Amino acid sequence: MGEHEKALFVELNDPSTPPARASNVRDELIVMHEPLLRHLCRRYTRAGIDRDDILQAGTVGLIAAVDGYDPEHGAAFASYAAPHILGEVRRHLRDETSTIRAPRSVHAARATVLEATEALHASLNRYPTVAELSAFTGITEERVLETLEHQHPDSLDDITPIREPRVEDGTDAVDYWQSVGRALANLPERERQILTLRYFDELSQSAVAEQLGISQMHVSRLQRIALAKLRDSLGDAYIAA
Amino acid sequence: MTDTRIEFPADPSCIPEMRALAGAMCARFNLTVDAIDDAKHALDEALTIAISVAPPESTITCTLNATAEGFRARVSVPHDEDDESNVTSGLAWRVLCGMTHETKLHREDGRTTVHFALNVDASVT
Repeated sequence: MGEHEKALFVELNDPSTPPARASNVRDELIVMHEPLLRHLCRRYTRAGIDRDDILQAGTVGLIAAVDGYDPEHGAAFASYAAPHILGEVRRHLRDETSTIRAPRSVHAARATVLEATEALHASLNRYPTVAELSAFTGITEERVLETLEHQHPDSLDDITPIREPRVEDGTDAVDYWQSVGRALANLPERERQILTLRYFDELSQSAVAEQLGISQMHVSRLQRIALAKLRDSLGDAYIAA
Repeated sequence: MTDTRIEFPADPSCIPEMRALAGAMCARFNLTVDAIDDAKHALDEALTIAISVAPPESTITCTLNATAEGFRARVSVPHDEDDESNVTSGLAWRVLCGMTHETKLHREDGRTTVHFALNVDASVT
């Protein structure tokens, strides 16, 4: 923590600081940590959720962290603030956008496309193309593509984070992969099987589907869900050890 | 097909549109739905990796190429001079490598570039 930042926290926590000055200090600390806020929030901006809403929810967590942080306690502010910010973002996602719904027309087509995919898979002995699905169902190719894009989590409940301590900066490669292993171990068995077969045994979706006796679309959906959980669990360490 | 080159902000909010574009390009060349899903997912991972090293307000340059034989992408961003991220050591890179047939990462002249190629065994004609 920089000297200026620390001095601001000390001043904020000093009961003798005049209220007007304390308010200014608090504002400065909040603005100072906006990059941290944006960094933490950006992993949640991918699910078709309003980015400003996510930032607003995260700001509530940042303000709570600024108000509650004790610089004498030892932990870096970023470490203290991150769970507050992410907690508020997740609460927002649960409370305000508990379900990400595909457009009604896409929703109606989805079951038809799923059924057609399996029927064509059985008759062609491979997965169909979008043109084949369109011809089989009478649904336009554009709508089939939309349907395929929306085959993934309907509900953010599906990407509820798994309970695993975050990988801290500075861990070595062995620790890193042990953390990845623990995060994998906390996944439901089927999701763990799919990720292991896909990314460690390097099997195709079709091969995994065949091995597990489930459809390719189910493999696709479960791998998306499982990877979303790992991204959340590992935080920035998902990208780099 | 010739390459399609696009520039957009290095921000995760742009990823869904790029996934959709990749899906549409692959569909035009009759890739099967499982290959299309892999292409979209691989691009998602490559963009996530690139965005993680990109400074705020920077721009991604993304070059996509779909054919009946597969899908290729090249994702390039500037990175901070002091950035020492070892992205090839992370799980995201493992996931990308696991779903594609050729994966490369270059870091030179202040830019990080991720390249991948996904081949399909046989085109459907």
